[in-house]
Amino acid sequence: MIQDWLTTYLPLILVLSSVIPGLIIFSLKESQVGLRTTLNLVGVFTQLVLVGYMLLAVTQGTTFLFSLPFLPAGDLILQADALSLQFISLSSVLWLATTVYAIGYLEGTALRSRFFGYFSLCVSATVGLALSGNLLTFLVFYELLTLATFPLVVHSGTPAALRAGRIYLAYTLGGGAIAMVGVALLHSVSGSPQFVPGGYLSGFLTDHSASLTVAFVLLIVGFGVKAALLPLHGWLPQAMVAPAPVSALLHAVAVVKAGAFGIIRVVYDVFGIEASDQLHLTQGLLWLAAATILYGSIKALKQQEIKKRLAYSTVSQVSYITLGVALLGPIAAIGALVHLVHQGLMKITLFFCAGNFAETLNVHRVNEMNGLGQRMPFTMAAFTIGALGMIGVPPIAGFISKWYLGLGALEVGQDWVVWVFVGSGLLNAAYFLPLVYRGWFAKPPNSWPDNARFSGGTAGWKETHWMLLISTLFTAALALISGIFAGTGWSPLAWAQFIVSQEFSL
Amino acid sequence: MNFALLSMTLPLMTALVLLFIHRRAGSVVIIASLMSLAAALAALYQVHLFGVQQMHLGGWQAPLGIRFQLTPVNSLLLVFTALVHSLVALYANYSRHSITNTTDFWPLALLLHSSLAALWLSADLFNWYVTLELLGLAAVAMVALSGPKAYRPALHYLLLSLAASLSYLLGVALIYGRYGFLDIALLADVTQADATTQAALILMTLGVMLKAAIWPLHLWLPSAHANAPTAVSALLSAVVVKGPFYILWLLWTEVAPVELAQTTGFFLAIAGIAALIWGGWCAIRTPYLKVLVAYSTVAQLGYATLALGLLLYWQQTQLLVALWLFVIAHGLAKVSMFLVAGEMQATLGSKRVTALKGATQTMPVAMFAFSVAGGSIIGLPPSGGFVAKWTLLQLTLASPIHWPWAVGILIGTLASAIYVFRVIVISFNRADPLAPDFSPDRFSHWLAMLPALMAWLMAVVSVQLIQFLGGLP
Amino acid sequence: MSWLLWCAIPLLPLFGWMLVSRYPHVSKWLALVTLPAFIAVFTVPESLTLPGLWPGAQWGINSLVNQAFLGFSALLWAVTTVYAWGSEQGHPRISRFWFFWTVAMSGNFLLLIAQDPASFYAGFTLMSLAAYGLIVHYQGPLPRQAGRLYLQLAVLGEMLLYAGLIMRVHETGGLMLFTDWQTVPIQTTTAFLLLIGFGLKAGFWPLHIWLPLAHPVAPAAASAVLSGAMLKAGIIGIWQFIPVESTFSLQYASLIFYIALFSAFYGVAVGLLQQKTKTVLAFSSVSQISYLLMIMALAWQDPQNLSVWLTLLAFYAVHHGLAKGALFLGAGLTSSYQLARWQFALLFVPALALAGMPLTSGAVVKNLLKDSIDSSVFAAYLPLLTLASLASALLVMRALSCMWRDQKQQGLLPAKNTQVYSFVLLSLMPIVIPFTWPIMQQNLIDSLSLASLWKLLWPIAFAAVIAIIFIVKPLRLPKLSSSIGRGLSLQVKFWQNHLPIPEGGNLVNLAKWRQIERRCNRHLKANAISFSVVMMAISMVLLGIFLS
Repeated sequence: MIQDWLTTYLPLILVLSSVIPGLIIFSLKESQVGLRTTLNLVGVFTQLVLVGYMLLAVTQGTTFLFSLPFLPAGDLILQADALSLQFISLSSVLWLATTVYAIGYLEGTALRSRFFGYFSLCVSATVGLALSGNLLTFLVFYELLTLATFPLVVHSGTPAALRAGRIYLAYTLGGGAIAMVGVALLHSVSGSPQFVPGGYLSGFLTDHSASLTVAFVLLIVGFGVKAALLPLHGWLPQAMVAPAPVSALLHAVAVVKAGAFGIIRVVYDVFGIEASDQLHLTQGLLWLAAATILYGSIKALKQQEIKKRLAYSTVSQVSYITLGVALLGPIAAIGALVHLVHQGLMKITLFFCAGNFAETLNVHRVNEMNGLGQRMPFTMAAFTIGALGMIGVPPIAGFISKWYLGLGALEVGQDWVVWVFVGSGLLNAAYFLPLVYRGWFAKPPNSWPDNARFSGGTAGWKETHWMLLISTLFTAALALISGIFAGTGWSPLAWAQFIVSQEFSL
Repeated sequence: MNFALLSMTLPLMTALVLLFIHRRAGSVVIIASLMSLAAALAALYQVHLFGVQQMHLGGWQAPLGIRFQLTPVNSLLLVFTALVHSLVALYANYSRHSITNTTDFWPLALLLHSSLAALWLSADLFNWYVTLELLGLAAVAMVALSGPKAYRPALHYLLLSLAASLSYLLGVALIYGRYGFLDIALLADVTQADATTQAALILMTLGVMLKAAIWPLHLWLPSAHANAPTAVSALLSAVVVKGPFYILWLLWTEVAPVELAQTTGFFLAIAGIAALIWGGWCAIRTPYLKVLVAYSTVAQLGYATLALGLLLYWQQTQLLVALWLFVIAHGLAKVSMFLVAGEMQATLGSKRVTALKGATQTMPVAMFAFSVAGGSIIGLPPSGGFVAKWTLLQLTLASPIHWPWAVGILIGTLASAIYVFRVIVISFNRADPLAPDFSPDRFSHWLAMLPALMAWLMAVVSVQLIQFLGGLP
Repeated sequence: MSWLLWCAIPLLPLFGWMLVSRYPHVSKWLALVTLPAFIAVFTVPESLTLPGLWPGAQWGINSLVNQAFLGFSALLWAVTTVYAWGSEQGHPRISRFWFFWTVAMSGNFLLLIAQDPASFYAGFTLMSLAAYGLIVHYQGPLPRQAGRLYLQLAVLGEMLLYAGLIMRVHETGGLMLFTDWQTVPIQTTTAFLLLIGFGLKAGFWPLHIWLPLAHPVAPAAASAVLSGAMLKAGIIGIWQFIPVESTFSLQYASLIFYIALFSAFYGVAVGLLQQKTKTVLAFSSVSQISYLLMIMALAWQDPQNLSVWLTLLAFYAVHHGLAKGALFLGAGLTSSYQLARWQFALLFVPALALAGMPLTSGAVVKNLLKDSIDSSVFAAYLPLLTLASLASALLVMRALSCMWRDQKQQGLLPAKNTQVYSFVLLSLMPIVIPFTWPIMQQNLIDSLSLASLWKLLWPIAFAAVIAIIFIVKPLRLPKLSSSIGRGLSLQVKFWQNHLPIPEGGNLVNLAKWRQIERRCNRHLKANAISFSVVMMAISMVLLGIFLS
């Protein structure tokens, strides 16, 4: 009885677990810090517990399904399969880190209720996105995500932030509209049934191949905007003007991953490997992703602002996922799925660190990083872990992704992709190692500025606000642990293998 | 049927009562509108239970008598009209910034309501002429309520409205001369594609298009709607322009011969796309908030025109679902937008969009209402606007040769996204320090939120709505 | 309990660092972290499979090569740790130094006990990157330049290795153990990727360019482990990743042999023209590491006698690692401290061992190598090899004379005891090892025959004569820049910062369009009625035409 009730309503509760605190937070006064913090944390932990339960249940074969009639042949469906749980686990764990970080980061600033309200909505949109059971539901949450993140991007209200917000909207709403046409096109062919491993379109291949091809392109363009594929990546480097926790969330989980996740869903669960292969849809995507990887890295080299450099690095790194998906092989799929998590862990760490530097010592540019390691050793260590992980240095998480992606490329006979990874690794090193070098080896300035918000600490545990430090170290540790203990049963890698065994029916 | 008649006559009778009672006119109107709404809902339920209903006024059969009919579409429009009127009456009576609560607004609003309801229920060409004329005159008078600055737009409106009526009347006369009766059900069986019928149809169509502000005959709309008092703008944009549209729809689907309808449909569809682009562009460029909202009406009517055009062009009757969903979703959202725009304009003392700097801090509820309404206007899922656009897209995308039309829809969506978010982005700018006498009217803000939320709630009942209007293939 | 031991080998150094960073005074005992490695070398417990780590992780010792490499590396790390404790005491960034020291140590141990490629790669990378911290330990432009070049090449090497590694895993169909890899043939591309990737670390010609820059600027202890232990990591990498018996090995063995031969002479020739002691020693490493490469080429040529090659490889690595380590420590001592006579005299032990002095490990390996080449297809090159030992003898003489020159500086202080004793311990190893290591003992006795004694001694004697001539009548040698790498590295850095990417320009004249728009708006607004009427008329005509 309770079991039935849970399998039906748990997905909905999971979404609501952040919507409700969010809505309450909107109505709070600025001064109600304690209540707001409590609400935030209650939301986070409820979600973590629920996700934990669902993880257990799904491994035992339970299916969670909630559906609501919406449009003809297209219900609103929330479901929890292995793939969605991969994404949700990532987002709820990182939501925890980011919430703690944001509470510390925004301490004493204005408009916090608005911020945390939208922040919670953003997470619910991400969760909804992950739980979406069909394309229509996915589209709904995809648009809601845009709406929920926009206020966060422009939170500071400066002209630069507004400009970034406009650019962000121009890209994401444009992409959303194109995705909508794509979804509508597919819907007109087949309706919007539930996602199935292996796709549901194989029966329509002969009669509707033109429609399917156009729909695929539209969907990839639509989702590619958020995944920052090459000509559509322009918003991402601009959006980094947002407060550090927002950039962290944007770049690591919410937005870019929503796009990547969409691409994964489209290729695996809508079109399916076979249909994609038969329609020759993914070769172009493969080239595009490869080009994005290299282009993002080259642009990152040119950036002198830390966050901007990180942003272009995201452009490059997220395309690893797309690339892995486009390769259409099981090993590459493991690489793509595991990189979804690994990139999130590493990139959020890097953005947290950038935020720590900026808030503690007013360090925004690469050439101001000299000697940071002496003043903020822990943050710098976390930064180093993130940066090395991005390059693909073992035993940090990034290496595992790169390993599987490379092997996957060889497995399907696309040997040239390995060279893309080599080139990207070299470029990654070229733009990350100078930062690490400056931090640890360059001569520090004679005195650190004390006009920043959390200055006045001393190297070590008191180097910055403790909430900022603890979340940074937490994510850095996760990035390291999920690399070292990749072989254990509860690692992202193991879960990715579980998903792939289902998707490819191995 | 009786409930529908009640819903129509209640406002008219209240208007007569108001000739004698001047105090508390607002409250009376609110009660009357609500009662009319209740009656309309009952009529809707009747249609739901028993299907289409006919009534012959005074027992006279056609072709001599006047026939009223109640169909799913017009029962829904009846409810919609009464709903909008109730909301606007609430606003006009209780808002501190309302400039209409002590004026002749009340009887005029009731007259407008009544004539609209009559327009929905009528089913013959001459009756429509009468209701159109009433509607136009009431609307012009209401625009003029905001004082001398609105005289010029009101005059333009009046002149064009009269011209349109004349053109329409000419068409009616031609039809009458050719066939000898005006009931559309009778005409439907006999009309032929001869020169007289063509001329008559062209004249009527142009007249109605001018009244409905369909591109390229929309030029009077922005200034008239932008300069009217807030409550009036809301009414004009949400319901009044939809009246002529209803006539246009029935004219071409019922009366006109199919071969003529197909050609006209193509032109209408083109006009719809053009309206989307033109209206969108103007809304993007204008520096004034209410003008922006008014141009958004021009653009959004483009969707309805496109749906109508494609309906005729492809002879695909299911498109009427999209058409009327667009009308209703737009109407609800537009009420909200105009109320918010008027409120903010009054609170801030500036007409400009840029005056909204920091509005999310100073007037969060109003701004939120605007965003919610804007979301439906853009067609973000899951809103009423989205459902409408979705149904339109479904039928457009069904076969590859129709895909170019989808591009037009896409452009319209993007344009609407730009002009809506243009306002929202500015409101996220950090606010300047507030003036000491700054006091937004929270009640009206929440009131303005109501129709916006309803526009989104349409999505929740979308399956039922689509079924009710006739369903999709 | 063996799992504890295997885990302790790479982890204990890191744990040691944590202790040291918290309690700086325990750094005196830091050398103890190498203890598990010693225990493993002498007991050789069973391998440990670690399914919880990255795929296929397995740690253990599976051949003489692993065992020998681990043994001498542990010894070298232990001794140099003691030395570094003495020499780096009081340096302001000592904690950072210990960090990179222990991470490099941990990585080095990990790669030596790795039996699967992923663990090897992990250890190799940790070691490579951490070594950067050791090279740039002293501030200043020279360490920075040397470090930059080192890091650029290390990263390049890492990436090539990554490519080679996954290609190899793919070729073997997902096998993850070195022992399984030996049976699967390798493709040429993969093999060259691995050769270059590891070669950049091993430092034979032409991949040696970072070596002469990095060694002189690093602290003496770091140079000792760099040259003694870390270069060998490249060699063992090649040994384990490329199967001994395959078409590739057979086809390219001679090419590798020629490269090694050339490299052996090249190192000496350029080394002789250097001024700085440690640069001379670095070039000596370039030359000596080539012999290890040569041995591998011989093994590829003749995989039947695998056990011979295994032994030879192990011996040579142990011999060179310890002797070169001792010389680098000596170079460090002579350049900054005043040594006693006996202490300076001790320098001759590792130096002459490198030249192949009888009764040292040098004699054993030279003898074995010559015998092996004699019986291989490369027998024709034996005279050249004799010439090469003359050359190496000359080079160590050169190094010794440089050290003697360094000693003549004014104001040098006496060295600390820990430093001296660690140096003494290490420099005695070339004599101790052959006597104590059972399997080497036999070979030592073999090398004591009269014929081989003559063969070993005459090049040394000849070199000594030449050296004495030069000392008596110094010849002005042309100075040869040791740094083609430096310019290259700067070029790379320049491109890194000045990538030519075009920026988009503004193509549309916005102001003009704005004007046109305003004009349109004005007209439309003023003449709404007339426009509407005109529009109506036009529509009427149009519709009329099209409908009829």
